[in-house]
Amino acid sequence: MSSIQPAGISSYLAWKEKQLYLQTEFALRPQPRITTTVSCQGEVIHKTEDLWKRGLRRQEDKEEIEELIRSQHRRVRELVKNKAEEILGSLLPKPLPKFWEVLSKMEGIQNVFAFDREGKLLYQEKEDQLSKKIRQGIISTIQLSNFLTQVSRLEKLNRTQIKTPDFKVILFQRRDNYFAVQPKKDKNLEQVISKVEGLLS
Amino acid sequence: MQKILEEIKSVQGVTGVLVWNKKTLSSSQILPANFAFGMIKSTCQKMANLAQALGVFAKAELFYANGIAIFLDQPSTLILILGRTNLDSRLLDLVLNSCLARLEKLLSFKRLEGDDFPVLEQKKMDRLLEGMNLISSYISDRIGAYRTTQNLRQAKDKLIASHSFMANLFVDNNARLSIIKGKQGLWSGEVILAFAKWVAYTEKLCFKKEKAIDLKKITSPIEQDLDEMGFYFAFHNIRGNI
Repeated sequence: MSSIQPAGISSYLAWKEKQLYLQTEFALRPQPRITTTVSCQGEVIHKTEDLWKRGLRRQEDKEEIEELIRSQHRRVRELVKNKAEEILGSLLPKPLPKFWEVLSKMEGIQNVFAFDREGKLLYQEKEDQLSKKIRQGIISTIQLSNFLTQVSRLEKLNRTQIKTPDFKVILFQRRDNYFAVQPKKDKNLEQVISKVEGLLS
Repeated sequence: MQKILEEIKSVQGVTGVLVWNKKTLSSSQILPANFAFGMIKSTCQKMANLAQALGVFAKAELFYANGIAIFLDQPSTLILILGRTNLDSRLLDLVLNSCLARLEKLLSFKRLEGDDFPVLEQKKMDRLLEGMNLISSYISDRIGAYRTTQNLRQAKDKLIASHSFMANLFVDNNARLSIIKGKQGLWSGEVILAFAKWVAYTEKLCFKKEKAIDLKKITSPIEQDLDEMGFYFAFHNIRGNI
């Protein structure tokens, strides 16, 4: 069987400074089919599949499947080019939530960053404004706070104040996300906290 | 130590205190009954990770719906204070001013002896050796087995004066580390500290000023075990001071 296994093909496609990888191949299991996947940085973002109803026994089957592989690959390339916004929209940065915008413009606040429960930075376009040290400090604080919630009866975290000789950050939890607020250097921490808490409530 | 812990615990609203000694990598605590005691080591590990990220003299106050947790990074200790929402924070600050200074005095001038460290189980010792051999193979791949062997031996000799048990370890010509036959026995947590120094000295000898060793990455197959022992924290602290 392996000697008549149809050869797959792959190609790259550039879209808005991102490199997309297209791969088309034939598989027998769970059912014979030709599949093209479009991926970006290892994440599959689109998949097209056509079933092959006959088996793979003769050389002719192999040649026919290879022709279908080439045509499906061309078809998906065209589709991605023509409907890129629709298909690849998930790769674009998500619009900032209104809450974030208000927070960013608040007096006394230098910067705002958002993290998910695992400490992953949301809205990557702000990444260059966040130093490695502050980022690591926020991630480790989130890990400690989640852990303490599990092992004690402290229950839900409302906020965290981090003070080091180099920086100050206030971390607020809102639903499943954390917002790290960096106050301006000369600003009173308590005032900033009460303003943000007012907004949160 | 116990007296200081009790003093902090006596502040109105404080329900528990956990102190992790950075030198012996061991903890002392008075914790509330509802705290999962089996989780003390993991709590210390999370505190050590936070300390590595924030640096000494950092403070994090975590306000929960049902209480408060305060993390403090001091030169010799990491401290976690648990409290209720009605915690008297002014009184706590006053008590801490005195307690932290006494704690520093107690620990920073104390000459450490074997008894100060907890016993290290054989399983943990095996893990540490496994980690050391992963590091040694990584260095060997970069600078060759001969130079790695020489540097590991030189760094070991330097450590024998302060950690006599280091004489019971052997580095063969392929830079492979083992315990000398017949010298296996009881080990203490001091080994963690000594091995962290061993890596730091070896790195300095092999790569001069370059910080070439990404310890977590190199020892990733056993990362969880080494992290829980405080090995990464000890290395991070020592590397910054040599």
